[in-house]
Amino acid sequence: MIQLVEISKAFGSHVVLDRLSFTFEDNKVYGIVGKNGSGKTTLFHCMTGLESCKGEIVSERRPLKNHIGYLPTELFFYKLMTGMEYVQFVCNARNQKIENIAARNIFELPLNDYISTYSTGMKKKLALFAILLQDVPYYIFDEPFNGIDFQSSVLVFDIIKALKQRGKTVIMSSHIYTTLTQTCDEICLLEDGNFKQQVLKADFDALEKSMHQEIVGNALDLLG
Amino acid sequence: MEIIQHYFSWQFKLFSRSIRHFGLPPVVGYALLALVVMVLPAVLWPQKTYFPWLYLAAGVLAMNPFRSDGRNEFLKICYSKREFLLLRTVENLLLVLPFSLVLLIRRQFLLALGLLIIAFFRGITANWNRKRMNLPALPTPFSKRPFEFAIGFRVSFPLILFLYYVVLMAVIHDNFNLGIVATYVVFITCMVYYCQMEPEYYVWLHDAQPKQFLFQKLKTAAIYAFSLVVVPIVALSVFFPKYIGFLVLAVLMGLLNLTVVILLRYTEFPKPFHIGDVMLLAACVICPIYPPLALLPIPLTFYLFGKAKKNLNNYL
Repeated sequence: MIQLVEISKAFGSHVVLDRLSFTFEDNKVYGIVGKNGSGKTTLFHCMTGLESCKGEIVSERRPLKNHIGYLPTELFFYKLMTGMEYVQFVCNARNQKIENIAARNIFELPLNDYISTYSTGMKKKLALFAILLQDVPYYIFDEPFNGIDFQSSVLVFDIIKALKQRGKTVIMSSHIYTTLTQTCDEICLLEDGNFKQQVLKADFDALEKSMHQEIVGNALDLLG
Repeated sequence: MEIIQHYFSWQFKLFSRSIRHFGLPPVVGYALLALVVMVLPAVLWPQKTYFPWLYLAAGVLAMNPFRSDGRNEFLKICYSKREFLLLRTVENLLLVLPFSLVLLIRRQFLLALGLLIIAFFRGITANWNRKRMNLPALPTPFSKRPFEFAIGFRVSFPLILFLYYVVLMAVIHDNFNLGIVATYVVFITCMVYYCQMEPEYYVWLHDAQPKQFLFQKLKTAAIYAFSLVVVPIVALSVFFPKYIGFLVLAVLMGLLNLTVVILLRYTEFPKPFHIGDVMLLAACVICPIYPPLALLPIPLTFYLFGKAKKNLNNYL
C-alpha cells in the first residue's frame, strides 16, 4: 500500500499539487488522467522521491523508491550506449542479477545496437523492458503507450494484467482513455492539484462522458 | 544576409548564456577564449614539427560541438536546405578563422588554407546523414558495469590506441618521460569520461546508500582505468626497470585524480561542472609537475567524499 497524505508541491507561486490525499492499495491497477500540466508527472516524481514535496508518503516498504519500477515519460539515453548495456546498467543499479537477458527480450529489440539507432517507440520499449526485469511490488508508468506500435500496445496490456495477477500494483497515466479503461481497476481524475473524481470500473463510461462534456461542451457549435 | 545576422546574434546570445552558466561573465569568457586559442599559441609557438598539425587538429575539433545530430536536425526544421547549408558553412569558417589566422602568422600557409577547406567541406556536407544506422556497436570490455567507461572508450579509443603507440615509441627511442606522460594522459582521458553529468533518474535508480554508491563507482573506475594502463605500465616496467617507482607514483596520481573527478561530480550533481571545478581538476592534473602540490588530491578526496555523500542523500 502507498498512502499519500496531504501531498503538496509548488514551483514558485504555481501550485501543482494541493494537499492531495489518496491510498493506492496493493494488487490493483490505477489510472491517472488529467489535462497537460495537471500534475501527473509531478505526482509520480513526488511518489518516487525524484521531487521533494510537503506532506507524507506512507508505505510499509522502506525506502519506497527501491520498491518502485518507474517508467518516466521523458527518457534519456546516451548515444553510444547499447540496449543491452542500458538493461545491464538498470539491473546492476537495482542489484538484480539477471541471467541471459537476451532470452527475455519480449519486445525483440536489437539489444546489441546503439540506442541512438532506435526509434522513439523502441526506446520506450527498452526502458519498459529494463523496468519489468526488476521484481518490485509497485510499478509507475508515465504515458506507457506513447510512441509504441499497436502490436506492442497489445503486449503492454497483457503485461499490466500479468503484473496484477502476480500481486503487483500498477499506477499509470495516459492521455488515451481507452488504454486505461481496458486495464485499470480505478481511474482518478487529477485537476486543480487534487483527485477531483475517483471511479471504479462500473463508472468509467460516465467519467469519460463527463470529461468529454467539460472539455468539448458546446465548443463545436461555435464553429457554426 | 538578414538570416545570417539573425542566426549569429541568436548563437551569440546562447553562447554567452553558456559562459554565464559556467560561472564567468561573458566578456571574461570571450577574453579567455581569445587568449587560449589565439594569443598564447601565437606567442608561445613551440618549435616542434608536430605542433602546427596539433593546432590544426584543435581547429578541426573546435567545430565538433556544433555538428551534433540534434542541433542539425533542429536547424533543418527552422531553415530551408539552402539556408541551413549556408549557415553551417559560415559558422564553420568563423569557428576556424582564429586558428587559421594564427597559422598564417606562423607562416603555415598550407595548413591555414587546409583548415579553411576542411571547414568549408564540413559545412556543405552538413546535410549528410551521419546516423550510425549500419555501423555495429563497438564492443568494449567495459559493458559488464556500464556506462561511463563503455561510452567513453567508444569515443576515445583512437586516442587510447595513439597513446599506446606513443608508449611503444618511447620504448623504441629509450624515452621514459614520453612513456610515463602518455600513460598519465590515459588516466586524464578516463577522467573526462566522468565530466558529463548524468540524469537524476540514473542515480535515483540505484538501490544503495550514498557511501555504497560512491564506493561502487570508485571501484569500477579504478579497475577499468587500471585495465587500460596495464599494458603501458608493464611495457615501461620491463624496459625501464629503474623507474618503476615513478611508474607506481604515476598510477597512484592517476587513480587519485580519477577519484577526485568522480567525487566532484557527485558533489555538484545534478548541476554540471563550473569554472571553479574545472580549475580544481586542472590543478590536480598538473600537480605532479609541482611536488609541493602533488599531495593536493589526498585531503581533497576526503573533503569531497563527505560533500558528495551528503548531496546524494537527496537522491538515494
